[in-house]
Amino acid sequence: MALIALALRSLWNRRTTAALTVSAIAISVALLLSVENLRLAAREGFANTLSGADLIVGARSGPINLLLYSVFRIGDATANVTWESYQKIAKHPDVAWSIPISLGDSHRGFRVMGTSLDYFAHYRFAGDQTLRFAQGGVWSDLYDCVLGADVASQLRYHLGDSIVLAHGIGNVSFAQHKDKPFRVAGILRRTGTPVDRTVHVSLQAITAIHLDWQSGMQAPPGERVSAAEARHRDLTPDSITAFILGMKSKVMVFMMQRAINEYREEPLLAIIPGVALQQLWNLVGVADQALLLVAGFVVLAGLLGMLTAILTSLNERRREMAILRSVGAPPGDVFLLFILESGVLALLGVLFGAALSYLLLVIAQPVLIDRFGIFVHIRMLRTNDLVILAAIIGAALGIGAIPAWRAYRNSLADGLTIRV
Amino acid sequence: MTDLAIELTDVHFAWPRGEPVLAIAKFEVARGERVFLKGASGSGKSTLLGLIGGVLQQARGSIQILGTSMRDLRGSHKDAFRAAHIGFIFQMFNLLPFLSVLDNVTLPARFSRARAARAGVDLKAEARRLLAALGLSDPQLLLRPVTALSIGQQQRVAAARALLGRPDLLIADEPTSALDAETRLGFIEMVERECAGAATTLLFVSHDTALSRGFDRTVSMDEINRAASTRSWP
Repeated sequence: MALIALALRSLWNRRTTAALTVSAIAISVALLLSVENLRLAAREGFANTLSGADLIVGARSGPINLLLYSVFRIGDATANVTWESYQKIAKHPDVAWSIPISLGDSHRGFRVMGTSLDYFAHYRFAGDQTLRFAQGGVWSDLYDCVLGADVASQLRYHLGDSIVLAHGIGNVSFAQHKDKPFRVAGILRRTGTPVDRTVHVSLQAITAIHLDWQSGMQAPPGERVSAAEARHRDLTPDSITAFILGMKSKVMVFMMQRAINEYREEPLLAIIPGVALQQLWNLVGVADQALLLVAGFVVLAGLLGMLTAILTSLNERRREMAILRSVGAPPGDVFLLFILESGVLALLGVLFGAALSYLLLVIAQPVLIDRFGIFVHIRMLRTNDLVILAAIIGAALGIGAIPAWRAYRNSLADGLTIRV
Repeated sequence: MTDLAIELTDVHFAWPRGEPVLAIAKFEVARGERVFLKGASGSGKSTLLGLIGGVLQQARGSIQILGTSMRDLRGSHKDAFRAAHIGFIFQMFNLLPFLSVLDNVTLPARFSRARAARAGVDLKAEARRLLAALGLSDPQLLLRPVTALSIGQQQRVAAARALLGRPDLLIADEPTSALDAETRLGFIEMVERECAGAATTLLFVSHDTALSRGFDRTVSMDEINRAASTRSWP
């Protein structure tokens, strides 16, 4: 029985209303899929920020605070870790490698991070990816720096350019290390992590530019240390902001964490990045669940729009049903006809919605990377998406059963009487 | 095989919690007969047609259509029986607005294989033949949306649909009341001619006795329906 053909012809006859209904569903579906895409991308990007590291160590504060400033370059450390403590822990026989992190300066809104060459060797993100250079390489001179991909692209820097670091982390800083400019020695490939937004220099460079600084002020002109003079000073730092540890064996991670947390010389805090990331995500994740909930309600509104459209058409279509009954359509066919109609509307809505979400993604992808550092993959619908779309069609069929049932009852009551 | 197309015996019908609408002791129509059933609105004729079409179920009594007891047919079998054996023409608005003229005419074939088989291999050709026999041969006309046709043209399309696949019984419920006086008789003649050609029994219902000439027999609802005479209309 070609009921579906009848349903399609009937819908085509009311194509303006049908198109509006399909658009409403499509827009809501596109919204839902986009939110879902963004959510997964954010979560993935989040979890991919740092990998392969076993512990992050900083002065004692909260785990999330430590994670935020050491990995995400958000907020500030309340205290530092002394160089002695760092050396002691880094040289522990169970420690495989360590990356020191020294923060506090900035360059035109981007954070400056002092570190060692171990950073380029051991830092891992997104599974097992290492930092790779798009241009140039690591620093070879005291006043060399390595730029993250965003820093280079947004500020249009090239190898060999000279840049001046600012003291402090304000977007607009008046205190600048003008006397010790840096040369761009390398530009990293894009990672989709906060590394892209970081200016990297050596720990010694951080010490060098602060030789003549005291409590946030540069010494008066007569007492300054020139860039050349600084090269001959002892540039071992007194303290660093935090450090990342890789252990020789995972078994030792917890022992080392406890040892650091109970370290007597100074109050330190060691966190396991995965655990802290999860804690932070739980905090942030509420927002994205709320977003998903809102998107879900928008879909429901779209489906209710469909219900309204079909219910409105119900009365004027009573005689169509009577005609169908007169040529032998069972009342069940009348029910099916309406269900099919809802199904077709929802299916079209879902298909157009999915297409629309792809279109949005293609348009928004570069913006999302540039502005927010979120990389959204353009890929086939995931199983999860398919489940959502199937659920929407299922819900549409369920909602469609309401007018279908009423049409069925009408056609039983009307019989062959054509009501106008 | 019985030679009666319609046979009602002692049939009673009432809507739930309502007064009896229909009480017919005997009503018979022979196969091939053309009967004019005269009845005003409210005489119970819609109910009678619903019962004959198998859309309503009598409270008691027996209804035999073409020798088949409607009471014995259940649910979808009744619908299938109606699709296979009965063609309907109503007062107006007989056509599905979203189908073309030809698709409207071939509609019964979608619901009954028997009707489709009797209409022949080429459904559209048969539809065109019927439309031409009813005076709609202009090919341009067939391309127009059904809603753009005049009422008279619509009723002829409806007649072609009711006649497609030579049903045993054609029930026409006031099919001419929306037509003007000149086209009325022409329409009835065409329908009668097609019924005769296909050996289709015709039950023509109208309140207008002026149309009854040319029919084999005239039956009045008031005569057969005892419920109507006892009803307490003001």
